[in-house]
Amino acid sequence: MSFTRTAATVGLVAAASLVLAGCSAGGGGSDTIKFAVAGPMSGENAVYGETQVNGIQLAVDEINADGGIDGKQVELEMFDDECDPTTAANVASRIVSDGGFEAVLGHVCSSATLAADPVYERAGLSLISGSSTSPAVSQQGFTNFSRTIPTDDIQGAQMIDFAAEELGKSKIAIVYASDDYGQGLYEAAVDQAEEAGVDIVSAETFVPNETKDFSSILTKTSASDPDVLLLFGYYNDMGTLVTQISGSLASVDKVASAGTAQPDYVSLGGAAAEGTYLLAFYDPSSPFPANEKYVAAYEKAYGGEEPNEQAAYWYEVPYIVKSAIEDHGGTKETLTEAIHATTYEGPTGKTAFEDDGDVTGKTGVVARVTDGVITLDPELTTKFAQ
Amino acid sequence: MGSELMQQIVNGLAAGAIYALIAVGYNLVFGLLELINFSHGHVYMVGTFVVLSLMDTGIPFPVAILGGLVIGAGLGMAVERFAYRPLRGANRIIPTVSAVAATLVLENAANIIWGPAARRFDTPLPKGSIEVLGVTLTTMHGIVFGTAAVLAFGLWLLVEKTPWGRSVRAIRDDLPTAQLMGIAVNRIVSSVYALGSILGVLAGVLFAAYYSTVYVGMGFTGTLNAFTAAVIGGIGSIKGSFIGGLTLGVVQALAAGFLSSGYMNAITFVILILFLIARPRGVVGRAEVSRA
Repeated sequence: MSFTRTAATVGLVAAASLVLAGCSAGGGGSDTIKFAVAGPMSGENAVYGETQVNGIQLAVDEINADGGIDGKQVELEMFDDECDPTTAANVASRIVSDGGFEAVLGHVCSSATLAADPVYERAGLSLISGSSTSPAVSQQGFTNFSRTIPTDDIQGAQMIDFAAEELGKSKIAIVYASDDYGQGLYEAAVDQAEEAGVDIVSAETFVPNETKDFSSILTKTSASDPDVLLLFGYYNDMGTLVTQISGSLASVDKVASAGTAQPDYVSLGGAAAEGTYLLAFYDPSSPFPANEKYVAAYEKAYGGEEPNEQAAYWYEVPYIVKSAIEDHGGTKETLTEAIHATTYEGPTGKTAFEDDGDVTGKTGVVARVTDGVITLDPELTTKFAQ
Repeated sequence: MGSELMQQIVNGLAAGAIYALIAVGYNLVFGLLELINFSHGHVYMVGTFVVLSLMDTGIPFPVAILGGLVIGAGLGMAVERFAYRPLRGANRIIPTVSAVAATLVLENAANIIWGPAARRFDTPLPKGSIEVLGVTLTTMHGIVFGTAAVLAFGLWLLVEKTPWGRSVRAIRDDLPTAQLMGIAVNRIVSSVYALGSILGVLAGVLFAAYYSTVYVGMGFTGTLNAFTAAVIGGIGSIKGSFIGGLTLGVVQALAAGFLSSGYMNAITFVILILFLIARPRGVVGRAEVSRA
């Protein structure tokens, strides 16, 4: 009896202190400005969330050391969506009901962004993403969305052009992830192939994070006798896929999309990843003026780790939000409008926005896995950018 | 087209042989206790990661496998001792709940130790292939089929021809009577969990070597496929494990090859549901022995 009473008292005190803690966080002094960071912090895609947070945190530390945004120190709170649409929608509800956030920096996977954005739109909260590339995201007709990375329409078409023009191939095989990212690339590629007059001889899809046995897909692909293999998906799946390539398909050139351009693709794929062309929108050795300083700061902050595309695009996001607030008078209510009016020169080049929130004016880079390292090919990059 | 079909069937048989070895772990236990050991898939996942970690420290592949088998067997026995044995007399749903708890513990522990990302599994096994009538047969195909065949035969010998096997069959037929006849039930049950786990870890190593990858999610994938294989073949039956595993592997490969790999899990579930409705005892299942 006395035990239960004690337990109840402890429980009450705990609950009360939680409520109090919630109040003090939600109330937030006027000398700070809070942003929610949403991405995959756990699960198979946690690498993306980790680099997202690395990029954002580095920028925020720099901004805070420099006096913050409008004199307010920036605070971040992380939310884990596991790259999963259902979890993302739940996370969005939690962020909205908190009420203390100025804007959301997220999400990473397009499927997660698609599921979460309606929740933010209804609450009038701005969302800015540095990595959701599905064209569908900006086609929902919402007024709260911006992204700093080019869409899959552009990348899908680029990959066909690259295979057809730079590599001179005409029998194209595609393996793509069955989610919004893979399908977005695939649809853009089909349109572009028709325009460029090349044949897509086979197109196979797989369930990202789930399919580990690619032998059926590869057998079918091999039977179509392609001269180039385009990979639309994430580094973990593609790293596993390439190790299962055997027979005549082993000598066919591989061209992979930006989602694969992570060092882990090489560590999973090993020798089978060697020679893969990677089309991305950032490389640590890019010649933009802001890039050198950024790479040095990133490597210093994260123990010599080289920044990838994810980290670079997310690093720019807090700076873009800062400029939108300070230079274009953005408030919580008008932030998206102010972001769309902002232009910014960062490590990935110049960022400007279209009315629907999509980015304009980005050029891609071509890298290649050479001796186990993803290496920028300056010649192909220049040739291809033109 | 003909050779593509043959190739898909070979791919499917290899995947199916691996499912079968995992399914045996379920069926051995179910045969004894009529309990679905849902943590089995996670035990084999942890065991496979242990093999990877041992290899990372430079320990030779065969010794690393041995280490994984020992840890796997220990884990299997620990799960039985702490999650199932205290509940042996309880309603069947209760150990199922504790099985789910055991999987959560194992999965989260694996996430903390090895991280959520997939890891490369590189073995010194020979990599080569030959073409037979347009079908590519790799050395891994040979190793998977060979290992599965040897283990299947060894298991049959063990269960049908040894005193240990006689005790297992006695417990399977009637646990209280077996106990009355002086069979050390707890020890035999414990050893069955150890054996199931050992076969599971061997299957895990084959899986990891065949697909060159290890990841925490393989626990759940293994659970789903092996459980389906067990249902198809006949739950509780060792022969059924092999029939069910090979059937499921081939059906999945054909579905992925000629429809889309996106349908693979959907087809697995459809087969599972159809069997549960139409033939819950599977292809060769034993008639249920009631102990009411």
